[in-house]
Amino acid sequence: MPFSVIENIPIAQMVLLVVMALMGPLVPSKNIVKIYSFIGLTLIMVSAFFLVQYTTLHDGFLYQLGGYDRSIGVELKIDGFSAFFVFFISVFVWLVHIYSWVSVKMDIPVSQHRYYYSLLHLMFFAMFGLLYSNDLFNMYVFIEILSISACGIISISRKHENYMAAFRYLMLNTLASISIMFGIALIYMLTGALNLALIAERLVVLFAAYPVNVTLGMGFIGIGLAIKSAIFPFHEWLPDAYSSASASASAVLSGIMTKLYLLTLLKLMVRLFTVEVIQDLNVPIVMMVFAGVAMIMGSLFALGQKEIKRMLAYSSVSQVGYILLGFSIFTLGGLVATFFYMISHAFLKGLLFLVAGMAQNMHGIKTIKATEGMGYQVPLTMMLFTFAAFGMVGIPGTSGFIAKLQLSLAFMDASRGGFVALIIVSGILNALYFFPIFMKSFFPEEEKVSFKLEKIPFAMGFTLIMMVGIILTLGFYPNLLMPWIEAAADSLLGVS
Amino acid sequence: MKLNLKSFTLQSIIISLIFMGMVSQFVWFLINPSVFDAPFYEFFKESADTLSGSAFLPFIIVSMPLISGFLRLFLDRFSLTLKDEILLITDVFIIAIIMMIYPNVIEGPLRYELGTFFNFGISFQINLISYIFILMAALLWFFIMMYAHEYMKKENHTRRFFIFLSLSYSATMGIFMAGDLLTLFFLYEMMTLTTYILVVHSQNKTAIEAGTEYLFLGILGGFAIFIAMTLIYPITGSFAFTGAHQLMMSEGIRKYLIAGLLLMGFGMKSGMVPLHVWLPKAHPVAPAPASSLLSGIMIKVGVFGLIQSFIYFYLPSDFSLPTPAALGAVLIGLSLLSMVFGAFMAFIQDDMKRLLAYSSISQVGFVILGLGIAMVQGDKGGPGLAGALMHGMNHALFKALLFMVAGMVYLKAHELRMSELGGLRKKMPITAAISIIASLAVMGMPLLNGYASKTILHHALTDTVKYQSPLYIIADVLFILASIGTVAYFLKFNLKVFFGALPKRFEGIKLEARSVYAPMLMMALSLILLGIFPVFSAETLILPYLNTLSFDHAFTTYGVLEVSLFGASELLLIAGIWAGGIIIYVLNTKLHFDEIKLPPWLHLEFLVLFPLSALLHGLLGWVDKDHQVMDPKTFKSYDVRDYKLTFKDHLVAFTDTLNKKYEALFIQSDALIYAIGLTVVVIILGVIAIFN
Repeated sequence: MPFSVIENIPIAQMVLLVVMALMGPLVPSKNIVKIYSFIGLTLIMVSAFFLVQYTTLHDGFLYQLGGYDRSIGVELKIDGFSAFFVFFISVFVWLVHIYSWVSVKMDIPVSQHRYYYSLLHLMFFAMFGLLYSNDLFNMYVFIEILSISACGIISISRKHENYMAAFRYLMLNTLASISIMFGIALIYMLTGALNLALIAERLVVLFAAYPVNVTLGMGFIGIGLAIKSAIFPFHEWLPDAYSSASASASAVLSGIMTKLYLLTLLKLMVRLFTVEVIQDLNVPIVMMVFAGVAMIMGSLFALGQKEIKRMLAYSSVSQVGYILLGFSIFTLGGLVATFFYMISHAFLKGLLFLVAGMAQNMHGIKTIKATEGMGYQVPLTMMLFTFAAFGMVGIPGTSGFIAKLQLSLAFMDASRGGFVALIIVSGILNALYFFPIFMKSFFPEEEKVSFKLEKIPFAMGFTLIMMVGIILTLGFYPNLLMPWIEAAADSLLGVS
Repeated sequence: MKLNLKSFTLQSIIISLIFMGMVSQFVWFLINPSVFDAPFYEFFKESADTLSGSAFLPFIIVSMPLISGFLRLFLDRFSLTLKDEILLITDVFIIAIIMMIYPNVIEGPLRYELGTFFNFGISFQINLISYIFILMAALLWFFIMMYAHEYMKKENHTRRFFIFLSLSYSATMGIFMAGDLLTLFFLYEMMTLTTYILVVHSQNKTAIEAGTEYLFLGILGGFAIFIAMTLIYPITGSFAFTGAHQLMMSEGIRKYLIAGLLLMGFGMKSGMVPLHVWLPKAHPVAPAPASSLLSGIMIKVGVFGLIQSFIYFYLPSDFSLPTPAALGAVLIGLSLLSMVFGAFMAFIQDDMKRLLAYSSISQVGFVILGLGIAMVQGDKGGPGLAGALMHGMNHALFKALLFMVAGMVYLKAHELRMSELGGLRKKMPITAAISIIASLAVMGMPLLNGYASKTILHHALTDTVKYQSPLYIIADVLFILASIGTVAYFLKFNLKVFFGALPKRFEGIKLEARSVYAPMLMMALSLILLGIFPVFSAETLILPYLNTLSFDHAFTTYGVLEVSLFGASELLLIAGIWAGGIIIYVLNTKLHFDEIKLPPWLHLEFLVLFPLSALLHGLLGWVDKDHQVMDPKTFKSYDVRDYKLTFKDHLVAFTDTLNKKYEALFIQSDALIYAIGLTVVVIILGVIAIFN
């Protein structure tokens, strides 16, 4: 594909998403929404594939919107990092979108279906924007759009607990947004620029003179994004939101939304503050402390949960810790391993949430206790759950194992071997809360019914099978993804 | 008598004849290698060359059981006998392949690299030690499958059982052929998961508890190997089993850390004290064929892993280099603990299968002792390792056979408690005879197979006393003590079950000559043959392997082949051991000290986890002082002294309380927590900056 076409893909994707989001409430039938969403998302996925192909082979490029100067204009940066994650998000959302054809009928009121698709597109738009945009102001705008559309998608099921969860989410996220705003203001005050590249240039010089400003700015932005990505002491909104949201929404929230904020954090640290300043300020140590606490405490809290989805949500809290820990070493190997970990975790946790939602909506299995003997009544559901749970524990053959292995080796390489022990402790805790479910469901003390396969609607089955396929493929052939991930890490750290 | 061609007995006899023909051919070849040059064998020779040259060989060996498992599932609807027959037939094929490639393996290890899997590539290798283990596993599997047909008739879920039995068998075969740690780890986890299903098969409370413990400890062991893997990779640059002694020696404390982790991971699987806790629970609850397989082969996975990794990572290629002798001493210490503790615990058991399980712990101790001697003795370590491998093979045979005996008793009498059993020799004489032969073999009766391996081990131990340190005399004493214990508990096992008065309720037991006796008799025969020709297996399989290692060849050959086996001192020693065992048994009939009940708090799990539970309990009281989350009554129910509560219960209670407390706090004052968080971050950043 010629560069003139490639160059315009990002902006075309974003325009398409906005148009699709706005059309949702306007078109006469919700079936039309389904159809154009499918076509649009497929187009976006295919174009993202070409984009990631291009950026793996060539250098990235900048795209000035309207041709204004970079100090005041809107600038998009398309490189290995943004293209890879855009592709990954579009695959994930495409799959979840197919799943939701059937699943929305079960957990979202009919009147809200079109708004659900609209919000999905809006979230998707904000995620693209966050990854592409290269200036602080636009990133802030996209963060806001993402938060508000997520709030809408949490409350869309119109149940009491949804409103509670959405309200909590909104309160905390507003706090976080204000915090980020403060941080941006501090940085702007110091450098007088909003473009990341320009700030980075000036910050290197100004840092020595105004360390307090930079430190405070970083603290405000960091804590704001920490709340949004649910890093341990600020995770309180997450369990409610994930466990009450509809199946497909919680898959999107846990699979990619928190990761997007983490990626934003990483992007700001590398592109805005630059790695030298970060190392000077010892931010990695702070990150490691938070990550270590999150990994252990998230898993410990998950142990005590009685509902499956709440347990999965707490497990996400600990997984956020893994990812933050992976970022904190700032080496190429560490980033490659962490990116792989993010992909692997997105599909594993997405699968878990989709299956848990299916079990809850179709078979009424909400609590862990209710899974007793369910391996005989709904074997396919429980098998899928067990498979994904094995992935979370890190059984070889699933992508979870490769992710853990890569991450551990990256830590050994960066001579921070002690953290491998942390990974293992958290892994053992994972086993402690995931295994009882499959033990109870397949090996109950009393069997009342005989073994019989249940039916899964085609659209849901398709998504689940595709996800299993991706997990297995990445589990056995991680090399398929490695060139792209390496290009992504390379473009971010720029050490090639 | 009418010949029924459809009966399983007849079909299995035909297959057994083929099998025995093959084995005798193989043995004949081992005795007289030139026989293979005859033109008749040209075809076999060519196919063996093709097979070992092709990269599919390990795949064929690993996937055959898998395929047979699924074929059995498919045939389940059509034929009652063929479905079990298929497992035998495929195994005969595997054995044929394994036997055929012997000349190729003896020339040098066969390596198979399969790149790009798992990013690092997986590899298989068949060297002589892999060969010993896969041959043993394949032979044992044949016997066990023939036995399983009859036994599993009365069980539920047979389809599930056989599928997962096949899966665990193929995983085990894969482990024995693994060429690197990554492949080994992958298959190790597969084995843990598939055998879990065999353990919980009966799905009653004890089985589920045993299975849970087995699975969690298995996963824990797996993680230990995982950490060891990630530690080894930066040192050697790969996961492969290649001589990495020099690179390891250049590391400081890290090499001991790796050794400890490997010991933990593989020791867990081999049931080494103090990581044995799962074994006496898991082995008895599984159905008899699975117990046979678990005790016969699966615990050898741990032994194999230990031998393989210690040989490759810690054994120097040249003994002028420093050796980590401390590791060997640790191994010897742990194995002696296993031997004595296992023997003592076996003696005080009432359940037949639990006795056998503890006996496995004790016997595996003997095997690991041999490895320890090999590590301590330096270039004179050959005989120790030879004894270990020999005893490992022998143990696989007789322990599998004894579990079959226990299975037969359970099948006929529906009872495993020895205090309730008695006099069964009248009702099941063949089983009784087989049990006695197998027990005598374990006890070390001359002219049965256990005697030779134990004597070689004992000689290696006395050599250690001679060449290393007189302190090892303690090890010698404990060795003899464990052997005395072995004699005592097997006397108890046989006399209580098969002799004495027959209780009334067992009068109705009918003896049916069924296919089960064929494998049991074949195995008993092999015990006798291996006993009459004690050094046959050592000469043909083990010695060639040891000569590929860096041990002093002359000393190894001397220690295995020329050592006196039936000399006066050896026979006197075994007579003494027997006398000791008999004295203990006779004393026990008067004093009944095997009926002591160990207090429940003496449980190893409870002892280890008690301090942690107590700590958590204290923290729980501190976190929830005013009982906002947990009311006082519930709090009291989490008493630390309640040994029935597991550590997990305490952990869950504590974390749940903590979580709820934090949640309440957060709702009250989220802005405050945000402010505190921000301040903490800024202070940390500032403080570090100042100190820098």
